[in-house]
Amino acid sequence: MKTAVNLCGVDFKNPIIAASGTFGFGREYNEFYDVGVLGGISSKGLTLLPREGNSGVRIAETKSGILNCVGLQNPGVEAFIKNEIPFMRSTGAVVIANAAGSTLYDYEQICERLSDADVDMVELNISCPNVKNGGMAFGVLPETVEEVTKVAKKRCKHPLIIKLTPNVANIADNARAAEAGGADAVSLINTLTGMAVDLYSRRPVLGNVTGGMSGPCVKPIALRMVRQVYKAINIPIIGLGGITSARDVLEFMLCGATAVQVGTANISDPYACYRIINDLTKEMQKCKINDINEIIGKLLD
Amino acid sequence: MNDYFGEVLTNKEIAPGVYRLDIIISKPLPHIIPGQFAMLEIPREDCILRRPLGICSAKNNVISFVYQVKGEGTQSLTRLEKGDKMKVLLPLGNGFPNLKANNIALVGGGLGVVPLYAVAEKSDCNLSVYNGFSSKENSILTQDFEKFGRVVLCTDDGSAGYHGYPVNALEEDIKKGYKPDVIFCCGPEPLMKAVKNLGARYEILTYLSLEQRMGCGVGACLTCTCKVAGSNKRVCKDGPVFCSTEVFE
Repeated sequence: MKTAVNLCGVDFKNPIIAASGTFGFGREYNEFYDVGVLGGISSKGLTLLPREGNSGVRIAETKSGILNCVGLQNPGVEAFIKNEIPFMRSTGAVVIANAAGSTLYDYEQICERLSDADVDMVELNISCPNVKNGGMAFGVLPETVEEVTKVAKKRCKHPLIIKLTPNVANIADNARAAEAGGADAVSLINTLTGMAVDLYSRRPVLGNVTGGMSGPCVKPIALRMVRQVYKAINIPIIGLGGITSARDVLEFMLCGATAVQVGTANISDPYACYRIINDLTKEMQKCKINDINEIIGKLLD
Repeated sequence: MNDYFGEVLTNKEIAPGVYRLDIIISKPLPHIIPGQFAMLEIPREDCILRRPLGICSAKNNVISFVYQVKGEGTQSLTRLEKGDKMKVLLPLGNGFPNLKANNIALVGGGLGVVPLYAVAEKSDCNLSVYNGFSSKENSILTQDFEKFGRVVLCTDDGSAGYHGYPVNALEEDIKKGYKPDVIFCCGPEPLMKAVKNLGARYEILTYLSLEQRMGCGVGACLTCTCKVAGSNKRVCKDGPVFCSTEVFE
């Protein structure tokens, strides 16, 4: 049975990628299992300079999901290159650097810096506040999606993945904008903006008031959006949003994903990715799939 | 650390809203350092986060926890019955240091006494225990602690023992000549801050076990960070025990 996929010329031994922000740089989970079994690892979101992240409560639970507002705490791109890439490279999984910024200049600079680094792909997180545009996210409007993609693509020597936010009017328009800007692939969905309230104290639970919602509760939305985007663009899609099982992986691929990311499931269960990878061929057998590539986008809708 | 299958032996209310949960682990237990914690699976499909619980006692294959009902997750823990199974990830974090000390003062507030019980159970030192609760009714583990050392039970309302906070009871003893080599403390933040200041005033080495909402419990998700010596540390992986001089600055 074949589980290997190819994404923008990069070979993955299976389509399972650990999602950014839930897996650090792989070290913590490598204490539980050899993270080299993964198709790829997307790093914690990186910024040009180290960031401390948000203060106050950073996580809350909701039914079948979580809300987080970590706020991009990370050691900065230089420390990533020096301290984390050698480890990530040594695992044998495809190394994806997830890059974030607040301004076009940030994205330009970080892509340039990562171009010389030993990573396989760059994933651009464009759902962070755009300081230039008065706090609006780059990822919200198709015009700014195209603009930031163009700027990044010009500087980025690695295949460029644009990570799309679901908090938009029409995600297909934003995917088309990423494609028009020169993206090599898109990944979706990032978290949905939500809130949690503590009735007794009459305060928001999260220090940042709002947070990104993820986990099984967002899966139906993610599936719908992957399908919608698959029909709108010609570049490959990495699907994510609430994946906890090999079945979920195949469902996303059926909707059009070439590869998938597993995020929140790692937080529930440190062996989540390991278990999903182990179950994948069993599930393929059940569904009479010989080569996982044959089901990509083949939903009968 | 590993993910074990635990089977419930007992799960009973020991104070209003506070339960003691004993579970038996299928495999031999790893070495557990007092102050380490576990992530317990909640027996509900829609609760996807595990709950971090301090390890109260670990003997043979039996692990004891004491938890307080705080929300829906811990509420559903109360429904666990003998024979129920769940995954338990342990041991996690850095516990209290194993110091060459003759006299250790343990200062606990509320559920904070739980990890200190693990210290008492394993320690060969002379222990003085200052455990504070809101009232006699809400006090826990007093008789259990008495097996291992002198216990000063403190209540906020004076319904039992010392009327006041455990940090004040300890300070009164220090003024009378008691000089612990080290203080281990776990409890609400105001108590830990007061104990940190006490340690500084009397030049006593002090360690605090911090509490924070956690996600993964293994150091990856960065949701339980706290400031330690000016920079972010993960309570789950770098703590939960920190030297008092480095926190609450």
